[in-house]
Amino acid sequence: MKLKKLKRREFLHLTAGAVLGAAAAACAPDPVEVERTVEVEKVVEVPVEVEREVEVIVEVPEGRTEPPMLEPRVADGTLPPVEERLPMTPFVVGGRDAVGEYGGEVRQIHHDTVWSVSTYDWLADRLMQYSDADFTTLVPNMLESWEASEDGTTFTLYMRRGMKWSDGEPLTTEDVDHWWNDWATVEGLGWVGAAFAGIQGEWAEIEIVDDYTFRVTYDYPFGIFPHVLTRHPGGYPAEGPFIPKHFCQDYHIDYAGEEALQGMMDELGLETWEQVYNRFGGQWGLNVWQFPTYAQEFPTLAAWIPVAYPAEGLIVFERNPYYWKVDLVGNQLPYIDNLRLDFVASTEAMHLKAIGGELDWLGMHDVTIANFPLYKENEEAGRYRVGDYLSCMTDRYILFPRQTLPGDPVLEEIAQHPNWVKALSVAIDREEINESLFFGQARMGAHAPMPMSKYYKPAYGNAWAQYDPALANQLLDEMGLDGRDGAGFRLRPDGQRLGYHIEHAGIRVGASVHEFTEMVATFWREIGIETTTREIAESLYNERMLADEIHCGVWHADRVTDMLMPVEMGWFLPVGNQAQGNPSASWTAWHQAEDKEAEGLVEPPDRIKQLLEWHDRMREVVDENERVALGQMIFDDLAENPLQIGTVLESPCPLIINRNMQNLPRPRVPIGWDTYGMSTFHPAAFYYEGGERA
Amino acid sequence: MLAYIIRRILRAFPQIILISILTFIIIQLPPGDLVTQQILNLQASGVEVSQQHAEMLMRQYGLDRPMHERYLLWIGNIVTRFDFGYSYAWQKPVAEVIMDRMGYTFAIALLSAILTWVVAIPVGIFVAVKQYSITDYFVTFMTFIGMAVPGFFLAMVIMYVALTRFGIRVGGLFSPEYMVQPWSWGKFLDLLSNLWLPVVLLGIGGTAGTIRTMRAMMLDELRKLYVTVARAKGLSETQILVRYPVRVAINPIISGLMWLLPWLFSGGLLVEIVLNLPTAGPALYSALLAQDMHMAGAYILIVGALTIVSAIFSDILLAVSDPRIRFGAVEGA
Amino acid sequence: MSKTTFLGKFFGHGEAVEAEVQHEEAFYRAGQWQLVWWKFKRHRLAQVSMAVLAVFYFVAIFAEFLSPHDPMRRFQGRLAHPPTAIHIRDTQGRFRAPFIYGTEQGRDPVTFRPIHVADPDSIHPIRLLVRGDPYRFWGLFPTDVHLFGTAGEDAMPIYILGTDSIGRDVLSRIFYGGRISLSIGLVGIAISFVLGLLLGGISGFFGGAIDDVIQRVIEVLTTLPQIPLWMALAAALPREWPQLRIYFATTLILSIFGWTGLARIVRGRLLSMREEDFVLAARLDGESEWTIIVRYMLPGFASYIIISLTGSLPGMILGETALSFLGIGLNPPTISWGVMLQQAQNIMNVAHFPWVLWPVPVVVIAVLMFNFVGDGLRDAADPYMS
Repeated sequence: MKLKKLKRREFLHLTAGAVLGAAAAACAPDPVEVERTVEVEKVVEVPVEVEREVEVIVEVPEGRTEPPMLEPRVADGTLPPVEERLPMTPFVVGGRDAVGEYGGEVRQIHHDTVWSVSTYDWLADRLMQYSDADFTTLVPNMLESWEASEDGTTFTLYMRRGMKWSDGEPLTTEDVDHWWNDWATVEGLGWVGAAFAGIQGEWAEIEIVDDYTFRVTYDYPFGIFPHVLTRHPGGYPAEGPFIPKHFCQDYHIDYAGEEALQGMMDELGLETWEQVYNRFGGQWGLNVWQFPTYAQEFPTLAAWIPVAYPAEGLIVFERNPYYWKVDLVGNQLPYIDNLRLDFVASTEAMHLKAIGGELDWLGMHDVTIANFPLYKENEEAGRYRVGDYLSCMTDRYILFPRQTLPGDPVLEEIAQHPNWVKALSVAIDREEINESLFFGQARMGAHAPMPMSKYYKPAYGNAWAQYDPALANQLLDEMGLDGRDGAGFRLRPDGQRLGYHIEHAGIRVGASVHEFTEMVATFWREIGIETTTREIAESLYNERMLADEIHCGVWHADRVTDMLMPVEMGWFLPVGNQAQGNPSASWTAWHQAEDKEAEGLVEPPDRIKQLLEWHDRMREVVDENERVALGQMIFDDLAENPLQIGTVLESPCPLIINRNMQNLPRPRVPIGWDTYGMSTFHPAAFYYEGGERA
Repeated sequence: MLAYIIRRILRAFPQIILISILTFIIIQLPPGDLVTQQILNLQASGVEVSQQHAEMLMRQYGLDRPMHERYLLWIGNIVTRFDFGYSYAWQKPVAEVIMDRMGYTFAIALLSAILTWVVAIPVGIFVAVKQYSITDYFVTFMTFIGMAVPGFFLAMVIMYVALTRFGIRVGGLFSPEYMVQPWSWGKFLDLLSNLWLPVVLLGIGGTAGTIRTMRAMMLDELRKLYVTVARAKGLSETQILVRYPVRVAINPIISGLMWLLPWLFSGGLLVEIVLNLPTAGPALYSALLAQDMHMAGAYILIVGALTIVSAIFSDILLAVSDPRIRFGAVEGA
Repeated sequence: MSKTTFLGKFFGHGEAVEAEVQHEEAFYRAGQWQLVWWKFKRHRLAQVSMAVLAVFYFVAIFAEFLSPHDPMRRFQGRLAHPPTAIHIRDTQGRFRAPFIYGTEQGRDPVTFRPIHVADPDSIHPIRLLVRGDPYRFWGLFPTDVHLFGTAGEDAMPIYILGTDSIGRDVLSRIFYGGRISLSIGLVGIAISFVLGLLLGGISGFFGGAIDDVIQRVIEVLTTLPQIPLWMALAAALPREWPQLRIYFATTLILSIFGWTGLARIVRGRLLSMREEDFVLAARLDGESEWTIIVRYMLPGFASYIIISLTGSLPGMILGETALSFLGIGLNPPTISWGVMLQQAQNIMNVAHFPWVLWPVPVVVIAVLMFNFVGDGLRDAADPYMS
């Protein structure tokens, strides 16, 4: 074992280097190098202590410690010893406060089956991820290392040798081959997920190099490919690139044969063998939010695996004996033995459970600043701490005044006028919202990257974010909306009263969304726009957003850190998430269409096309500096002529965490969709002081 | 009598078919469908889904077929194999998800109904006999209060007060430690200790309403001539009550039996959600929101079928308790 | 004895019933409904309830004038303000006209909970007919006079029932909310009534095949759980409709299912009643079927109809709260008690700002009052009661 005292910043490079190992020694151009140049500039701006001294190990520790829970199984021979279960180069979780203690159970909740968010919060491991030290540096996670060609077209991915599925079978490129050739590219069976679908549906070529190496090639530069790999769900291979062949081949016609599958079809009442396969193998439609209730025996790569369903809606997880991460001294992770997830039907019941001390963890989707006083007052009684984090999801409201409204051409013309969004934005008193809904604890502003982002400029946050109803009125008057009716509302050019509707999907968007939208409605009524608000079911909201029928939508403003800045930019531009937000579903459809001349497409104006072009270029370029420059061109333009109305720049994320839990993320780090919840912070390395909850 | 019963049972079949069709229409009514919803979820999680992919999913899950074909497939599986389909949201067969939950829901509904009758019928008779006594006023007042307070709201307040003022955990059907254990005597006791609250909350409204109806019916009957005649014949008050007015007065309650069930299911849904019970209601609610149509369909269909069955019982009971109806029905039919 | 008598009077049971009907002749010549009214007038609780409801409706009608503030106005710096205490004695022990103390908002440094501290030097007398938030009375006459309040630009506003989490006056919102909540169920009731009576009557009186068809329809309708139907129908309503029309449509939908209960009761009574001797006698007398129903049978079960109707009117009010709970009822900025409940029903409010739950007792009282009135009507309509 080689111990060394290092500054955290150095540690980042060294970990990356160490993990790359011999296999990728000649990595040219070193992608880590690219990251580093940017990262050095960045660190000063991160509002957390980065320079603190930490004891880290630059090489994989030699010793391996057996978790006590598994000792009996090793002793009676049902489980091989830890040395044989771990890969040759396990992932080493460093940068923690302490070496942890084994044991304990974490009680969490899930609400409903489609939106069972806690699963990915703790269980999603990805191929790559951003370092939790600065949220800017790419580091391999499931992968051992990776290599990119200089032109950004070819990527070689190195898997961890000796890594195993949770049932003990080795993970090899056979599983990659099975995913790609037996499932993803088979017509009528699977599909090609985000990263490998490339740009405009120009799929990657996948080439198996050896048992642990495969190569991904595109016909064009696809510089953000490694970044997109940070968005893969891990343990549950919804989109690859690993499907456990040894398990799934029993349901595949090429391996199991027609007769066996016919039997299964009859037994299950299914009509095609593809349905059989997707029920057991491909996990039809399973996204990162979904709950693996079916998956008791399904092999995974996650830190905990579901082992029991003692009651409906209740799932007990146990440590994955083959999990591939260790701590600095070679203890196999996770420290915590069990997770337990209860189904909770109402948010009020959930909060009662939390303040009553029945939960050890209430995650980012469930906590809200609106209940902060309640959380804080019950800290003692509930034996928990309220985390001091920044939200990049919860409670961050953003308004999406739709630019295209095919059902109402007159309003559409108004909505596309550059003054419109500006006027709506400056009519909002953000400080009042801060006081009323955030207890004055948020930092208000326009919709922009969070201040910790390398894309951030103070001007973005301040753009059209002042409270100036006089200016709003002036802007609207300038647009020719100066006629008023008897009730004081403005008149549209066609003589009708200027009505505007905000629609939202209820507390799914945020706990205080009713109050928020109601306040916004009154601000807009004050400048002569007859504004109403309406809650509708989420499915209806999605459908109406997709059809550009909603005048103004509301969602939470995640995707505002560097972790998603080049990958998912739907909140800024019409490039995705059109069912939840974004400026225009019609323009998004145009942008996504392969044939731009196809019927029914709406061509956006030149300015939007320019923005989209910069966005597409951001996805292509290899050089991170160039990407940031392109991004800032987009944000400069948006600051001048905003397409959406942000309200919150930074707000607290008051996670509820059992008092004994340690090795948690540092205070004031961002937590949300961008970080995949806890996943970026290696929850496998969290532990209970004394091995038990308080 | 037997002929009547057989006829009554035969008559239920077209009803059940009609219910299954209506159920199928209801679960198709909300906008969107499961595949669209799943695709949106995939998109929201950063996956781009192509048009072909979407069509492929539609095909795979039979959503591209005409409505009647889907209906026949759905109902066919239920009738021939008792297979309620597959819950895409829970990723397992609907029957597996719903059966336990249905059991609890049914148990709570049944207990509430029993509580309702055990309390309401005697109390209703009593307050009718003792009209204008203090008891009558008190009961009248309480029943009105019971009918006026929204149960789900009461549930929330009780939960909060129990937790913060008395440190008692309320909600759910089991304590967390028993939830993971197999059935045992201790677990059963634990269930009972948690069951009373939903049963009472659910029963309050129904009890109050039934007391009102019972009292009103009794008052009408008591003033009828035959009661005076009976009294003149020297029958004791109890004999008079039990022999005639109660039997007549109970009619509307028996005919109300059949719609008590869906009422308990529907009214219970809000209480179940607030109290966070492992019952069918919350699962149905989320299934509807998630477009998990096999799940929602199974629930509505089962409730519908159960209600039909209880309607048969209620009609037979009615015929037993009031022979005039029995003969009238035979004549009319 | 004395207590029973008092209660007896209160609940409508007088000993000297006949004596109260001064003109015996008038009594015997009075029509059915006049008798009902006379008897109803003797039911004290029902009368009191009627009076309370009259006050409720009065408040709803004159909400603009009676409420101290604009229900939409958010008082900044007065978030979640507790109900203001009204004093008549100041800190020096002197008595004076009713007044309130001014308050200052602070925050708990740890929990961030808003705290309002009264300032004993800042005294604001309560006045009648003060100038406050401008409004248009019934949307017609612009004015700013309110029944009561504190006068002056800098005066501490009065919050009889406190403010909600974003600083709106709860009392004013309850007053305005009554407009929707007290009026909206009536349409549904009317439809339920017509359908229930008509179809239940036809079914019970004629029996046979017609009865069969109607009964099957009722059974199928009642077997369907309402929640999924509500959700499905709420999703199917056009979103361009104004809130009010959506709600009317929803009540209409509810009443389409609401009539079945009444229809069953009517039918059940008619079934047993058509065998009665007096019906046979009437038929032998050559009375038409219609006359038999209206003149002879209807009074026999009018009490059930009234119970069922008055029972379902509060049901409509409660229905609104249930719809709101599921987020498929009315929406802001429309103010109704259901909308207020929707916003009030979280643990945070129960724990910290219980005064925002005031709509709950208001709904309960309204429902109670409707029930008492219904009960009084029932007793009054009872033909066997002298």
